[in-house]
Order: sequence, then C-alpha cells, then structure tokens
Amino acid sequence: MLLDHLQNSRDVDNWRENEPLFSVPAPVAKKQTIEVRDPLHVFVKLSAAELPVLNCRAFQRLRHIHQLAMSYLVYPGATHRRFEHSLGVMELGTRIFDVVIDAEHLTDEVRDIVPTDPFDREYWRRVLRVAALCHDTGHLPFSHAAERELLPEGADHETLTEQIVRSGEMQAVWQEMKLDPSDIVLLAVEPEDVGVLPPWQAILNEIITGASFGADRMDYLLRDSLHVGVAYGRFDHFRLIDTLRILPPAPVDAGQIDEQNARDPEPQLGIEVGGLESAEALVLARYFMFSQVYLHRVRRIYDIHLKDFLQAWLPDGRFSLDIDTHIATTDNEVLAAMQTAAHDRGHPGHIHARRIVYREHFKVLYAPTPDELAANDEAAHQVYAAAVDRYGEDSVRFDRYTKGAGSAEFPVLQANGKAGSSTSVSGVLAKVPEASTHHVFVAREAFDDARKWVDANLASLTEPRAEEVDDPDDGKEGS
Amino acid sequence: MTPSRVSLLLAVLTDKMRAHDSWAGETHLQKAVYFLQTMLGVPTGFKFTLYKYGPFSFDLRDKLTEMRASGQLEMLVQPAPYGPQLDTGPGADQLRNRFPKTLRTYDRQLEYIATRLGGLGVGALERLATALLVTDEAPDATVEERAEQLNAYKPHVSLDAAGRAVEQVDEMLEEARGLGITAAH
Repeated sequence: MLLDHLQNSRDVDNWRENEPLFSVPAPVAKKQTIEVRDPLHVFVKLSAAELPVLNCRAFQRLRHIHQLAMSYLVYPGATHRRFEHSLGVMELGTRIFDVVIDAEHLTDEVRDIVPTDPFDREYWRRVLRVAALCHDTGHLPFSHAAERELLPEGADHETLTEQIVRSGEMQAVWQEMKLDPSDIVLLAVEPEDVGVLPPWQAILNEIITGASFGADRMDYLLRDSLHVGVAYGRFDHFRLIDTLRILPPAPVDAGQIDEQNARDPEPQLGIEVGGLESAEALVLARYFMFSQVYLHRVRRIYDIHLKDFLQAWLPDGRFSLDIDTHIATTDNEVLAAMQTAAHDRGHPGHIHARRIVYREHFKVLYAPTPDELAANDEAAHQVYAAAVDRYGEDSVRFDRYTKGAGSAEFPVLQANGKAGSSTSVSGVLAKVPEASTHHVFVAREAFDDARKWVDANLASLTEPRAEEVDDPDDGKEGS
Repeated sequence: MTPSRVSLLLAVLTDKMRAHDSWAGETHLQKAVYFLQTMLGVPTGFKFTLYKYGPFSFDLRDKLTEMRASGQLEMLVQPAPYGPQLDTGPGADQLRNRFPKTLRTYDRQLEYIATRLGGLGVGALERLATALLVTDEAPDATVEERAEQLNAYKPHVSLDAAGRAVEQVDEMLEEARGLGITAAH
C-alpha cells in the first residue's frame, strides 16, 4: 500500500534508480555533523555532541510551542514554532561569536576581555551554542507573555529555563559535553534576570539576548516576517553580522572622561560604521513588525481571550513550576482543552474558548488618536472604566502596551577609530517612533450600542480629570 | 502609585535635572530615579538590577519608552560622539495640570535629587548609585566593607574612588534625614 503510494507519487522520483525502497542501511562511520534544513538559514549544523540537547524532552517540547501564539488566526502562515527559532538563534549566535572574536576585529581597548587560550574560546563557543538552543525552553504554551498572571508570583519563563538547564535530566548531557550548567544559564537568560556579569560573559549574553543585536531578535524578526508573509522584518543580516564588533561604550555625556574610574566601563556589542545602514534597517524592521504584526488589534485580543481561558482552565489559574508538568504542557494540550470547553457550556472556560474557537472575539471600541493621547494619557483607561460600569467587567477588556524600537542606542566604530553613539552618527535611528497600543475592547454582543455611546460621549469620556483626592495607591508598588 | 502619577514624577525630575545642568540622558535619569526610590522612599515601584553603569531598571526603560510614545518625553540628538538627552515634550503639560497634589507631595524630594545629582557625569553617577546599592544591601557594613563590595561589583572603579562614593552616600542620607525627606532607612 505504502509502496503503491510512493510509486504513484512524485516522491518516487527522488529515489535513485535500482535503489530498493526498503533496505537495511550499511554500517557507516558515525556522523560528526548533523544538518537541519531551515527556511531562513538553509542549513543549521550541529555537532554529534550537541545532538543530545536537541533530543532532550525540554527542547523537543518546543516543536509544539507556537512562536507567535495565536497570530495564525490573523496571519495563517504564522504557524512556526520555537523549535526552529531556537536552532536559528544558535546559528546566528555562532556566526556573531566567530566575527566578533576574530583577532582582526578586536581593538586594543577591548582585546583583553576575550580569552586568549583556544580551549577557553572553544569552551565558551559551545556554551553559547547550547545556551542559544535552551534560551526559550521555559516558555509557556503559546509563548504567552502574561507571565505575571499565569505563573506563581515572582516567576517568569526565565525561571523555568534556569530550572530546566539545572535539572537532573540535563546534568548527564552537560557532563558528557564538559559544560558547566551555571555558565549556560548566564548566557541563556535575559540580563535583567542575571544582573551584572563579567565583561566576557556579558558580551556572550548580549550575543544571544541583546536588545540591539541579539541573535534572538535577529532570528525572530526574519523568521516571523517570512512566515507571516510581510516584508517588514527583513534586513541585511549578513552585512550586519559581518560588521558587529566588541566596542567600548560610546560617551554617554560630555563629562564622562573621568579619572576616578580606572578604565572604561563594560564593553558592549556595536558596529563599525560600514554596517550602519543595516543596523538602521534592523531597528526599522523591529518598529514595523511591532506596529503591523505583534501589536495587531485582533492578535492582541486573542491573547487576552487565551489568558482568560487559561486562568479558568488551569488549577488555581496558574501554570506550575514543576518541570515535568511544564514539559508535558504544550499548545496541543491547551488546544484540546479549548475545543472541549468550547462545546461544553458547563466548562469554566467555556465562554473564553468560544471567543477563540468560533472567532467571536471582542471588537475594538476605542483607541485614542495621538492628539487624544497627548491631551490625556489615561483617555483609553477612562473609556474602559466607564464601559465596565455600563456593560460589566466580563464584557470589556483593556490593552495597553508599548515597545520601543529596542535599543537604538549602541556604539558605532567611526572612521577615526573612536566609538560614537549611534544616534549621533545616524540620521535615522533617533527618529524611529515607538510602537504603542491603547485599546478598549468590548464584547461583540454589546458593540453596536457601545459604539453609539462612545461616539455620543467621547469628549466627556476622555476629558482629562484633575486630581481631587489622595492617590488611593500611594505608597504601594506598581507603575 | 498610578502609572500617570509616575509619569508626572519622571517628567518633573527630567525638567529639574536639566535645570541643574544635567546631561539628562537615560542613564542619568535611571540613577536619579534609583536615588529617589531607594534613598528617599518615593514609591515609583521600579525593579532595579545591578547592570551597566550601576543599578538599572528595565521597567523604567520601558516606562521612558512609553512616555516618548505619548509625547511626554522627547529625545534630543547630540553631536557625535555623545549619547542623546531627554527633555519633556508637550504631552507632559497635562500631567502637571492633572496631579498638583502629587507634585506638591514629592516636590522637595525631586528638587533634592536634582540638586545633588544634576551636575554629575555618568561615571560619578555610576559610583554613587552603586555605593547606594551596597549600602542598601548592607546598611551596617563599614565604609571599607562597602567600598570593597562596590569594587567587586564594578572592578573599573578604584577602591579609593569607591570609598569616597560610599562616604558621599552616607552624607546624603544624613542630609536627607535632616531635611525630613527620606523614608526610614
């Protein structure tokens, strides 16, 4: 049956003439390199020693975690997963590593932070590659960003990533590879979770997670752009990577030359001036991808409905920090539960599941114009509060999110051999706006009435309100 | 404290820092807010981590980005090779009009921070802010112990400079207590 199918399909053309379709492979020498086809980087190569990382449960789980959550409900092509993204981060991170430690690319100001011993360099290259592979293993199903609401207090996906890297299951892998898991964690986790690092480790962390030129950012922009089907995320990453350098930071102010500091503070990733246009293209790509894709209103409301469903479905409304439970919980389990809930009126997540499964998502009731925002930055929140009073809490949602162009501020190695601030040498970078969203959503059952109500009362609803009473939250944290 | 009130404090701090000759780049504001929150107890609610140039808040970076998106702050590009400055934008006026009470409550603290830190460059701010961090971590430690810790965190800061920074932080704490503008420390 299978033979018939193969012989009747075009696949049969791919078999060499006279080669049996089923055979016992002849013994061959163990392959030292594994090649994985990738739509972005063509081939991603792994050594045989790295294969156990690829095959571990935590990494294989990423085959079932959508990179862009439920964006596929808006952009049907956006079905790619964190598995291939993580391979891409390893590929780009390795390329960046090889470029920036090239002796010809190191200036005297930073040369001493790079290990001189070739064995040390090779060790850190391996650490960087597996850290890149592991950096997303802690992500929740659908890569959900609402970790504050969906994980125990104080935890985020980096907490889970660290637990996975340090888990007993992974110890054998690291021992075989002669890698210290603490070193992997230092490079895999965002700087806000690891804090200050020695200069060399800080550079390696930046190669993966950096806000300006991290391999994570480069790969997700290129990959998301490819799968979503928009051209905005493209930029010349080949040229950009070739011009990346380890540089001293550009002067932050005119008084920075300061004899009390023994030497310049920590170096960082920057570019030589020849790569400035490709860096500008990266920053612009990030802005366009945020404004057009990541902050798309329907994508945002699906994220909110998904969060509502998860809170209703999960025990105590939160994911567990137990590693076995984490590894066993993927998008597949959530989707299966959502389908069940959508058909079961008694399920606690029924209404939220319906919103997603039957595309009954809330609609945008109000989004302030730039002028309205400049006159009152709480305009959308005021409309939200009034809509909740009118239609009830279950029928209204508020979404406020801002993402900058990322760090458009980085050192540029100028023709005079000195590092200058990117915004001082680029006519473009300082002008890239911030992508921002303020949306009030309302249940579609209430939409027509709500729309008329907002139109009739917009001025009073969005009028700036002066402070009359003590701030009820004064003294509490939260901003 | 509500997000808009935090925006107000950041906008007023930016104006006051500039009035006291600060370069007022993001790094300068980061350190000033760290002092405002950690030394004087103003509840801005940012989470700080030891990072480049000392304590740094990624939440605050996001907040400054949001304020730029709302026209409450603007970036002023500087000639090469220097980094940009921040200034208040037209969107900041509404904040002053809406929250006069909050402004009155914290005006002295904002003025004190701007007066003491406004004239400092980023190197000096890094030393002082890290000195405050090590003091916050171990308030009963001696000057020498805290200086050693500062030097361990920031090896490019000499031990002598670290000691002077710790002493300066102690003086500021004493002064702020005397002025009655600090939370119990």
